[in-house]
Amino acid sequence: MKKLSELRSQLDRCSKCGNCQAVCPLYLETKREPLVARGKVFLLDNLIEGRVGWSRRMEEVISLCLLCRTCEVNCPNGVQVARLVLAARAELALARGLSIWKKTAFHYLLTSSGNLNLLARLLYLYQRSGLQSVARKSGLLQALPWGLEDKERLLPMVGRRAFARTVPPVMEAPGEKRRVGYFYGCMTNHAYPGIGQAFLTVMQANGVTVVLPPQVCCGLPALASGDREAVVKLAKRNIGWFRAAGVDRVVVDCASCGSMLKEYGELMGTREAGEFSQKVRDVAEFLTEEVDIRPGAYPVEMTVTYHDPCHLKRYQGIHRAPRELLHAVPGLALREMEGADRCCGSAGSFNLTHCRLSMRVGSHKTRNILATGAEAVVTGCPACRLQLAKGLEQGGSAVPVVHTLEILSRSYLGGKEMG
Amino acid sequence: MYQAVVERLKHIVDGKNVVTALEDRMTYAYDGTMQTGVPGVVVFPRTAQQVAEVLRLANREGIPVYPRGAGTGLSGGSVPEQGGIALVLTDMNRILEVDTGNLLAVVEPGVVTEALQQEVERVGLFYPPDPGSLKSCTIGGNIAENAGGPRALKYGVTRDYVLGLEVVTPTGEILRTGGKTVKNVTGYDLTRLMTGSEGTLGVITRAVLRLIPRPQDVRTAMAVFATVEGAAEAVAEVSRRGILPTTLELMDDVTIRCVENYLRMGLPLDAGAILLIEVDGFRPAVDEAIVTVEKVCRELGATGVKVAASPAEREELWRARRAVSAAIVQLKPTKISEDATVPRSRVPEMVRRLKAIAQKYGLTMAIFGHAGDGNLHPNILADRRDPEEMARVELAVEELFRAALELEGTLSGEHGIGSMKAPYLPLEVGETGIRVMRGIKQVLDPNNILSPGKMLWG
Repeated sequence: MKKLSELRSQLDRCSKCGNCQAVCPLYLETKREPLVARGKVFLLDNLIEGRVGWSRRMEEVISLCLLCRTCEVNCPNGVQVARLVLAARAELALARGLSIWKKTAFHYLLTSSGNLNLLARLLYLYQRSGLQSVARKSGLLQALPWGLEDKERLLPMVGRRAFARTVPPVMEAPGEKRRVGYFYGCMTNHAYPGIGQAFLTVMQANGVTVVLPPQVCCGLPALASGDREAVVKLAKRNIGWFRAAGVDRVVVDCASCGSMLKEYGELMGTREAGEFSQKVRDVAEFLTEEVDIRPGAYPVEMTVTYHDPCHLKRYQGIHRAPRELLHAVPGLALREMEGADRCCGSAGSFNLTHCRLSMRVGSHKTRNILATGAEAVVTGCPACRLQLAKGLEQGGSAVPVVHTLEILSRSYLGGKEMG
Repeated sequence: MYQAVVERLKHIVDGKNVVTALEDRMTYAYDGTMQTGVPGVVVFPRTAQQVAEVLRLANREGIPVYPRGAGTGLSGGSVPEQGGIALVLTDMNRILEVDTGNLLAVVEPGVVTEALQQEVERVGLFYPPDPGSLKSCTIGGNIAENAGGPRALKYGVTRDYVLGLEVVTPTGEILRTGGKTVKNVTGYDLTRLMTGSEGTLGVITRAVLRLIPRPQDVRTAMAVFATVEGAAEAVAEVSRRGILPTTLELMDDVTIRCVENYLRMGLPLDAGAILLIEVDGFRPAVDEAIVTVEKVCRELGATGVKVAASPAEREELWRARRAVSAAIVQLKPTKISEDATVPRSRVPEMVRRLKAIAQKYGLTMAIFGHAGDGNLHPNILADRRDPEEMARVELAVEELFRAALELEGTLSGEHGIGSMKAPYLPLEVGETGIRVMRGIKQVLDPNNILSPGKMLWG
């Protein structure tokens, strides 16, 4: 991956026309120029020229980007803004260092599935033991600094046991037609095991044997924070495990993880990483392009709307495939919302570091979802799912958010509540 | 910026709407040109009263004030070249009234042009001015620059839609001009004086805008010609047959090749010019008009004419025009976009002269623009990091201005003078023109605190 100074041609391309203002979710919310792409481009240009340094404010400005790439799609000159912001964050991490929290997370917590399991276990106890309700009621969370009260609400409800611990390492499909490796990601593993179950159901029904090699975090949280060293560490492990599993496809049900895995090749520049990235497919992409998918026989009588994750539509160019899958489900009606591909504001850990702003961005999504009258929101990214659910909850709505796979899975299994 | 002044400003507009950190100020140092100037402080007012207080303070202390909206201008008009206060009006963005009975809207200056258009179209009305940056730019900036756009041929420019204004003068008084009537000859026409004054005479804090009924339908055609002369002849013949198109967009051979290399959409690489023609109005009328347009183009030697049969096909025809900007920067990163304008019968001659100028200085130039109103956009492509090339660009630009004036045209059709064309203003308006304009400026802004350095004082 390139350094900021090597991306100078990208900075030069920006003509400061201001088209990015019209689409940047953060600018639309705040109307402040440091938040929009051309403001950042101008600042980075001045940084390279030595007219500004890595100050606290500069750090904050560079953190104020969702990496949603909506500006890139609308840029007449094709400036690769996300690349610039990531390069800036990497340089920043070197210049100013990462916070002790992030360092611990990227280098110890996420690099080992055991450590993450332990944390999830603690979180589970916190949420179910009554401690959470005590903490919330006691006023302790308000009393502590860092806006802890808002952030605590964003924690996902974790399952009692990680998804990966509840399934065997290989799920043979009757009459096997394909054999794939499954990258389930941290969110599915700890917060939404239902997505993992749905993945297995859909693959079984379509003759795809699923191998579940050991795996760790894809590295995207570290990349977004500028810690490339951690990404490389994580990537090497994942690449090694999937190679050992001997699969020719790595299928992912998380848009964010998928986009990250597809970038290992460019990021690391090794042949091995390149070959791995070539094997990666988002689950919607895989099902529509590589499997002669037969939807289930059970009708799913409901109206849903679909939210396009940034990491699926703009990072991987996938937006028709999930809709095709939904259209094929008997009984299901898909009603498009306005701004289906507008960022939900989650943006990895952005919703933790800039909680209020993130929820303001999300409020448009909530409104657009509710305007469709849909009975459920479908999406292809567990991170978006968490944000969408919090937004709907804050808006007083009980509309559930589900993964495309969970809808498909219902058509094979019938009945059962979702959400 | 003196601490005492900053404290006063915080008192006027509330602390969080005064920004002093260098990193923040830097992001208010530019517009859509290459001009830059970092303001000493950035202020976001919310009312005309606050604007008046800021200007009174600045006038008393002798601090330059540069009003701006979205900062998408193309003349350097809002760039704080002498530091001072960047007065950002984007927080004043309410649409106060859409009056379907009197066909008008009352708006604050920070309303985004497209947002106003969408709002009035909901009730069947139409605000025609359509500058290229309409998704980002603001009404206040449009009025200050008297912005145009492709639809100007049929519908005119921003000034044709401004009925009245509320303006804060540089000495901090609130002036109301015009009103809510189409006819109004009471006193000097201060509305027109303020429209296009480029932020040198006052800060617009409210505007009464004229609206018209929304046209029922649009038809679009694209015609390919071997030469620019052929295209120009077709433009003239279309109006002789009694048709006034909404837009007549022209792309020259260099532009066509850039777009084709970029999009690979099958544009003819040997073409001399492409015209994009649009007519609007009642459905039966536009159906008939587009047939005539097609016939005229064919009669006058168009080598190919395509008429869009659906909205999707219309989008496809526009795709080439919309991609121009992205396509030409593939050649070189820095784009110097001019807007010299000539009477439309002189368009072929102007194109010839522009090409000669580009050749003389060894520069790459793509010419496109609004053939219907003679407003061409010669874009020179260069590299701003190459000082020798940029020096040639400067010479070419001056020669281009002279060519426009020799052909009875003007320096600027729609971008404004700002700082970039200020040195050339006397060429067009003469000594007397400058004296009259400076006299007006002197009366309204005796201490020259509002947008100093712009237009007249270069």
